Amino acid sequence: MKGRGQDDRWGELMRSAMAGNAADYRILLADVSRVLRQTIRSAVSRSGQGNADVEDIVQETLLAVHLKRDTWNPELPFGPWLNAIARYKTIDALRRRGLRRHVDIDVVAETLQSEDTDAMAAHDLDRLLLAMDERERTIVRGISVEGRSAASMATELGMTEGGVRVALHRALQKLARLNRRGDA
Amino acid sequence: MRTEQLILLLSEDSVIEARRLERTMAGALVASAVFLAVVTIVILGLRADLGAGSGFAPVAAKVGVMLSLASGGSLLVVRMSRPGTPNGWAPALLVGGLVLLVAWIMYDLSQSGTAGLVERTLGTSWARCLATIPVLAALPFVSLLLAARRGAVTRPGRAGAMAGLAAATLSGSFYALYCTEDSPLFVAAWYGLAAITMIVFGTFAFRRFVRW
Repeated sequence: MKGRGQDDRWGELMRSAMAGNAADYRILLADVSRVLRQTIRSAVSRSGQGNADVEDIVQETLLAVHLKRDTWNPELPFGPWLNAIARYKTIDALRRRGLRRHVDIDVVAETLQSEDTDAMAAHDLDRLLLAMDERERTIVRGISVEGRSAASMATELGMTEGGVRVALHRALQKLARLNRRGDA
Repeated sequence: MRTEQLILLLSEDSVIEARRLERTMAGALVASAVFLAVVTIVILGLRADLGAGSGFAPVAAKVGVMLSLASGGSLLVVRMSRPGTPNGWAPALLVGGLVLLVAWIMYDLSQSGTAGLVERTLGTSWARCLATIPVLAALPFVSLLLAARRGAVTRPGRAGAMAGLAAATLSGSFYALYCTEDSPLFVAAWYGLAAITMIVFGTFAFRRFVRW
């Protein structure tokens, strides 16, 4: 999952991100998601489950990396930390999906039929967004779909930029919590 | 949602919770220790000969074994809450505690021989020991569990075992100030069984409650 040189690069990007550089953070997350996609795809195919969930698990893992990034010690290499997080999240997601499949056979049929889904799109988080309140959903949609900044959302909603970021943070925590419960 | 969209979302959330795992856990353990000290002094009562020569040595040995295991166990819980962190000195503290206990047993056997081994092991208060240590361990265990939930424990079973060990031995080091059983065989058997109970309980409790 990590090359020697990559370790330092990712660690540097993460340090810069934690100091507030959002552009570096986007580069890091894009990079990480590419590597995650490969490892998760092979883990999923080894487990004998369909490929349809790969992107969902990638997104769950990215969300965990984001929410738990304060457990990474900036003085240590980033690779081992990421490996541990990704392994835990993938195993957890597969186990949860395995259980869900055994319970609900219809889900399997549906998944088999809809194999033509966009390879990059995932649906679990969209379903979870329905559980958000109106304001959280507006913020999440505005930033993710329309590509707007927290500052411009603040102007629209008559909030402070800090207020938008806190609301977004709460919404992401809620997403992770719902995800874990498998309430999708 | 596409993954690029999620990345946009994550990069706009700059809130990093300043969770100081180490500090949270240390705080939790210190608070538990203060509570245990009060319970030991007020409810159980210190053993009368604590300051005297006859009481001091066995109490010091018990507390030494217990605190060594408690610090090693809680350090490991902290490490396991931060994935990718080397274990450092923590395993050495665990081994150190066990070595101390074994050395004490061998010394005892060399001094007192092997007569009456069963009586020496059973003592007179094994049931009280077995019941009290896990009860006293509840508070440190719950505070370790709550602290671990804020970290990123990737092996909840193992972390729970270590939290159970740490809680039981911290509780044991205070119980030792009350307990008048001075045979290392008693300590190994009953403090040990109380710790094993908490280790098993901790394994299941963490698997159930430390998920993220």
